[in-house]
Amino acid sequence: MSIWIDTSTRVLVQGITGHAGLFHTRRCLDYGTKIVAGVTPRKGGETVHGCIPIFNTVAEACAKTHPDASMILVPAASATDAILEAIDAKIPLVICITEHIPTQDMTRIRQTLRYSQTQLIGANCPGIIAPGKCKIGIIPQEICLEGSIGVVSRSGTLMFEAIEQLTQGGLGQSTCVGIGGDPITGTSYPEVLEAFENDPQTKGIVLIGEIGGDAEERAADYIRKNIRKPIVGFIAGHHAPKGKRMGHAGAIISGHTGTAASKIQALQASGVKMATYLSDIGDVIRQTFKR
Amino acid sequence: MNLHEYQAKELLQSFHLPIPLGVCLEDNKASTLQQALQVFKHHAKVAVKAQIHAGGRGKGCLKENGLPGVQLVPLAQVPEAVASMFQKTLVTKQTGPEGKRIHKVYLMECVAVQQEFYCSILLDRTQQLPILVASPQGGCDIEEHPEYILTIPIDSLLGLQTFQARRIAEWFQLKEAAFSECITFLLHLYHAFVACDASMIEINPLVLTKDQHLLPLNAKIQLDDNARFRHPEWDKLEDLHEKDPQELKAASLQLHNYIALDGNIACLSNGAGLCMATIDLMHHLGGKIANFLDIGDSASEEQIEAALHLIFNHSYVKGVFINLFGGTLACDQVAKKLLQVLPNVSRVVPVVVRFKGNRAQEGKSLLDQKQNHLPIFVMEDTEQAIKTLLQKT
Repeated sequence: MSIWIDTSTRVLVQGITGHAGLFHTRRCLDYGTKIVAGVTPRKGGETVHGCIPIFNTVAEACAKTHPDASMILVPAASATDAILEAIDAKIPLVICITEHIPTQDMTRIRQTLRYSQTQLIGANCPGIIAPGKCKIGIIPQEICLEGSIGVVSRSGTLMFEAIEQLTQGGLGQSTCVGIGGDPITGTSYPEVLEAFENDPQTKGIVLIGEIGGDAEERAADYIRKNIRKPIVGFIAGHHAPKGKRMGHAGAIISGHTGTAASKIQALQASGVKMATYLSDIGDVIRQTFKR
Repeated sequence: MNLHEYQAKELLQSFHLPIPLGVCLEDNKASTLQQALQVFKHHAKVAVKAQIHAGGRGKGCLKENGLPGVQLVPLAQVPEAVASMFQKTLVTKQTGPEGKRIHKVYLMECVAVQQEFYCSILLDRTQQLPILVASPQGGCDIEEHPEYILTIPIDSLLGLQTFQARRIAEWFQLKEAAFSECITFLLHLYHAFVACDASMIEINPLVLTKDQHLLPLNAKIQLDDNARFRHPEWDKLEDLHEKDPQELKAASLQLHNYIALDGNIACLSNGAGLCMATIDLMHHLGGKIANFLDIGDSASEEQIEAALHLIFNHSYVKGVFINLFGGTLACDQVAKKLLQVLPNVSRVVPVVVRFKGNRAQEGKSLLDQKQNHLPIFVMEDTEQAIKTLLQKT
């Protein structure tokens, strides 16, 4: 069993006719993901990739095709609206790949989610993949292998690195979840860790973090109280200059919180085995999980 | 994007907040100054304030003459104080030793102050909501008196409520008219925060004047760059002097995640996480990064080309590391651009390339065919790649 998605997950794509929408819909279809519909305003009635029907609204797509999940690949200026439309249509799982959503919009989306039935992953994330079963997002499927390690990461590219090092070491993955690098996200580490802890297929967990905010410190707290499965961790940004914005709006070091050192210390205190450098992740993973 | 004090105050004024009388001087011409002095002709003293994007100006020091970045002077001495600042370099604890050059000077009325408060609205990552932070001990070092700091989370769907603003007015122990003034002030301030897509508004100090009115003596506003698409008016607020020239050039090429550092090896990646992890490993292996350039995972051909030109054109760059893990970005597209750009750069330096993910194999094949006459080295492993690059430089 994987977490949140499997071979039966029916997927809607919002922004299916854009450049990224078309490309990633194709890649997901190639992987075997059940993409049942797309939404692009004013293009309802057309189809893409030969067989996928396009609707003008999410409500219409839901009434006709009953998706369990939505992948959002619309431009930043319409992404907030697309997320709210998916929440309004009561889609259980929404994955927003789009980056650069205004942060105040995300605070309003977070509040809306509290009163909804939707789990939002992202925004600004690479999505989710259950190797061998289903992929929703932009994770390069070639590097994935079905297995028993759960991966959760704020950074997309670093998650790809971790997955590849796992696969090269012969360790497959149960599910990989990119939660996104923004200061405010729909899903944080604890929700994913809880799902991995309860998933029989997942035997071990890899947690990738980066400087800024206190998400990793809170994850460490959650791990200490709730997680029994072994975890390997990695934090990027030891040498980031203070106060500079390192790409992700979230990765701002302020004062003494949010530094790589404080995150590593918190995770180690919760029993997480830390890899210090990018190229060590594979070794630490093998030492921890191949027993 | 950061605003200057004078811009922040103009913005607050447009949301019906009271501000002190003030004039911003954009140049040091006699006519400009004369006009400005007219505004203050009934004031005995004027505050002359350097406009830079950094705090600690009052305690800061001008490199050229040792004077502070905020000077309270009699009206007659304003021209002298203004002259002491224009085009000078101000060093404060936030600017670093190199300091910041002053291109604008703000003149402000001096107000008789009874008490100084602190208040700010910012986004709290832990609660994932805007928060209002207030302290009756305004001025410097408010964080040294945590027992005075009151923090109120704001429901982003409902906005700041009157009872919340009232709690702050109580916390400040204000009386009568000033009490109501404070509530109105905070409600307007929150309105400004939302309407401007600010990520932070800080009023320090917010003062109670001797005649019992509230006035923001200083204001700092940070705007959320992600919201720029719905704020065309921000273009004219940007102060180009405040940016690193290389970062500015990168931004003009639509490369918004470029940061200049002080090493000699340029690093180009397609994700912030990978870029940071590469810098960490580079430091560990004894190298120093010249810049951080995250081109993102959906860079266009033009952006890739611009990125390559940008990193090769620095005379201090001795080597280049291209470390990509393509999700949407096609590695062969970058390879093609690299083969086009490299023969045309002014100084050819060794380039180590590591391609993973989307079309990595195609990218590597392209480079393998051509690399014999260009110093391009294709590597599989990040650590090996960095070691190779350090040997070649």
